[in-house]
Amino acid sequence: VLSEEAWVSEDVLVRSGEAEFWVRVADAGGPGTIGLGKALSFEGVRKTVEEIGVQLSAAWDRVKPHEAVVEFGLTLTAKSGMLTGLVVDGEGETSFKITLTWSGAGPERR
Amino acid sequence: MGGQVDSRELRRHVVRVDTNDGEPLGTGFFIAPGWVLTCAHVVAGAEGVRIVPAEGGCPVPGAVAARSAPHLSGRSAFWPFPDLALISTTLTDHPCVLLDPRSPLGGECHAWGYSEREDGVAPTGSPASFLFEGVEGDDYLKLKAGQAAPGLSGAPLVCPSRRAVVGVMTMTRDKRDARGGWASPISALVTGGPGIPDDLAELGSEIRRTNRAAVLRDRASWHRVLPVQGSDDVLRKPWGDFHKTRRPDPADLLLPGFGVVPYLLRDADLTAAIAWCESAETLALSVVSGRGGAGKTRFAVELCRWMEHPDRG
Repeated sequence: VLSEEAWVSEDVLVRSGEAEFWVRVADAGGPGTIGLGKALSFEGVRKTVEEIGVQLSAAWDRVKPHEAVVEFGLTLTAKSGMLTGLVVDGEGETSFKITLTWSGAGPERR
Repeated sequence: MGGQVDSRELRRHVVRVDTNDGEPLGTGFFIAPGWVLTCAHVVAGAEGVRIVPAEGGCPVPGAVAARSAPHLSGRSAFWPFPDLALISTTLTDHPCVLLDPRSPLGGECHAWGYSEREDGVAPTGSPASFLFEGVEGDDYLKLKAGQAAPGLSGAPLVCPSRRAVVGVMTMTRDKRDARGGWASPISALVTGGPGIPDDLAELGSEIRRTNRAAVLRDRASWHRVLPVQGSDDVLRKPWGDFHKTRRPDPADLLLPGFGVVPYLLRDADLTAAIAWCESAETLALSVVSGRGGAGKTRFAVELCRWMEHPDRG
């Protein structure tokens, strides 16, 4: 988890299926590959989100809340030449905000 | 030791690696007839690319024949060592760089590749120079005091003291600053080692043998990349056109250096000697024997003239 002030941002072209769009990625300025800025795939970001979802839903399966709300900040990086997500601090707060709610009826009955 | 690198001569060995759609990916260079070396992250997952020689000529298709492992997810921007890929092409009429698996000897190293000069403007090719700091724990060569800008990946790193290419540019320490970067050592390609896929190591050691032969066959071409200062003046060239002086000696006409009489009837010997000069042997001896006055000096003069300007014949 990086603090946002340390970043220099950079715009990169992303290609996903037929769509192309620019994404502002975090670049802390340090080491990186030096291939040319070709259009990147969005796959790495999707994988990051999927992995977070899979891990959290495993937790929910165990504690069985009626409702779960997760907020997390994701900043993108392309330092390895591929676009991936970085879980980040949002304005100095924690990276994850998770709210689990159980109604008074108990977890097993709905 | 050490010295300068002639950018114009070095770039004859360099290519731009493009996608099949013509989008630039990075740099590469010729290491054997029909073979281009670049970084694994330049070709990434592509099977086919387009090779654009720096000296012009039509772009040709290239097939990625072997590559090291892809990037692992995680925080490190480094691709698994050695981050190299071999591309085969149909181009064979090109000079090859001399590869040296040893580390740079220190001092300044030079690269030439398609690094971006300005944001968003297609690179035309640029030189870069770095100071060699040493070898990392994972064997990457660490460089400082030079800018490794995007596009330089896959560029040859020449060590003037070794008079050879010792590495392949892979990483920067900072894209926007002259902090240096990292290069993958040639030893990873030609001697193999842990983490280097078998097909890459096999092709690498095979290519190394071809590399040496290809460079030695055309050694003058590689020597031009690393000119030796004053080399043109080191050897006395005791030949020239005959100029008639006020009181010429008739024997002057016979002096071999003047070459007054056209050189004839020795074509076969001369051709054999030229082939000897151009052979791929690292060290070879040839003896020219004959009685005094048989024409040994004239033969040597004619051979030197031809080797200096083969185009004039």
